[in-house]
Amino acid sequence: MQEISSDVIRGYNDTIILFFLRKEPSYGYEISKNIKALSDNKYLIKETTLYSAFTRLEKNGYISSFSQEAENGKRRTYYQITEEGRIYYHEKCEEWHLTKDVIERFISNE
Amino acid sequence: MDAIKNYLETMFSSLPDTEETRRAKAEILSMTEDKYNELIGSGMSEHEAIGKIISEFGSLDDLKESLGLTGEECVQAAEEPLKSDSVLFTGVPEAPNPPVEIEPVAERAHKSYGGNLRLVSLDEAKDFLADAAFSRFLLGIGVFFCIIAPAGPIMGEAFGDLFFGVFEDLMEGLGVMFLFLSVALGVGLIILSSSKMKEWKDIKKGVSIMDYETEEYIKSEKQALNPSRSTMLALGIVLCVCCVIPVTFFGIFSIIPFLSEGVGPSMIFVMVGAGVFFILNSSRLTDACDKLLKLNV
Repeated sequence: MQEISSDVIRGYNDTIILFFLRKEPSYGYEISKNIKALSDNKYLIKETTLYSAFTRLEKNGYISSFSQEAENGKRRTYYQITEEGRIYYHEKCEEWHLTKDVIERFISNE
Repeated sequence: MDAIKNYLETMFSSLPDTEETRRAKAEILSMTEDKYNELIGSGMSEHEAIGKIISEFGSLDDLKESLGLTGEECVQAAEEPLKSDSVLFTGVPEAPNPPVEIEPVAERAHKSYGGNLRLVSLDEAKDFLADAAFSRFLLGIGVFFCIIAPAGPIMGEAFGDLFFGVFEDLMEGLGVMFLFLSVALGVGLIILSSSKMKEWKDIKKGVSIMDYETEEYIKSEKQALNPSRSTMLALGIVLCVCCVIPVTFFGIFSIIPFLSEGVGPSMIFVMVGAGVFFILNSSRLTDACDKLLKLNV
């Protein structure tokens, strides 16, 4: 089975995470589960990749984290998007449209 | 869950103990805990869940940047450990070695089995050793009975010569019966011995991995077994080599055919049988240890 190359998707992990955080704050496993579900199991993000994306996003000020107790009493780190994060997300969407448009021109089925 | 904690501990043990590392470890543990609980909730067995989690786990390289161990140098050092000179020139502290014994396993697991991989716990490994040793013991006994079978007719003949008439025929008949019963018993035991190992087919095919702690335990166990292994092997060989001694010795008493033609020749089979039993059993635990250790290569 063809698998997604991590090199290709790396530049868009941040965008994928921000997509979910735009709606509501969330935590690590929930985001990875949502990515898996929305991609029809085609993209499984690794825990290490996810964590490093969180730290990168937080360092750039696109998300902020807070600790909260879940229903089952487990303490989790939740992440929420910042205003800068929303702007960045839209920029990345624009960038993707452009990228997609350019790359598509070089993709041949022959 | 302890297996996953151990796995993470080992993975992070090569990194400097900083605030960032500790935070990363806690956060990743929390993610895997959630995943573990959900997999268990979906009806997966504990071992399958752990195997899946470890095989889907990323690599340490993904984390280095976020842990402040930044720079091309780190990545380079990890990929080209031989060219460490280039790292030293940059003045950046040499990157900690990635835990080599862990990552290839996870990667291999992911590639070969798509995550359908079992993790062998310490208790399971111990059970495997016990079963493998018992299976080998049965095999040894089975082979022993097959080898000593011909001693039956020989002894029957010798006993028969001591009597006359019906008794002589009876003794010879009993000897032949012993031959067949002994072979039947031997073959039965050999089959039983191999069926005993059926439930461990995952380990035999290599569709499993061990955690670090278990691997260390098996290694030390194997080390400790070496002396007894050599002793048994030597005993087995001595028995095989010396099997001709009784027949030569009893040959002296050729006036008593019971000894020279009965006991003497029979002893060949009994001694070789015992010798082979010891040779087979000398490595009954070490072979099982090797099989387990091969899982993590």
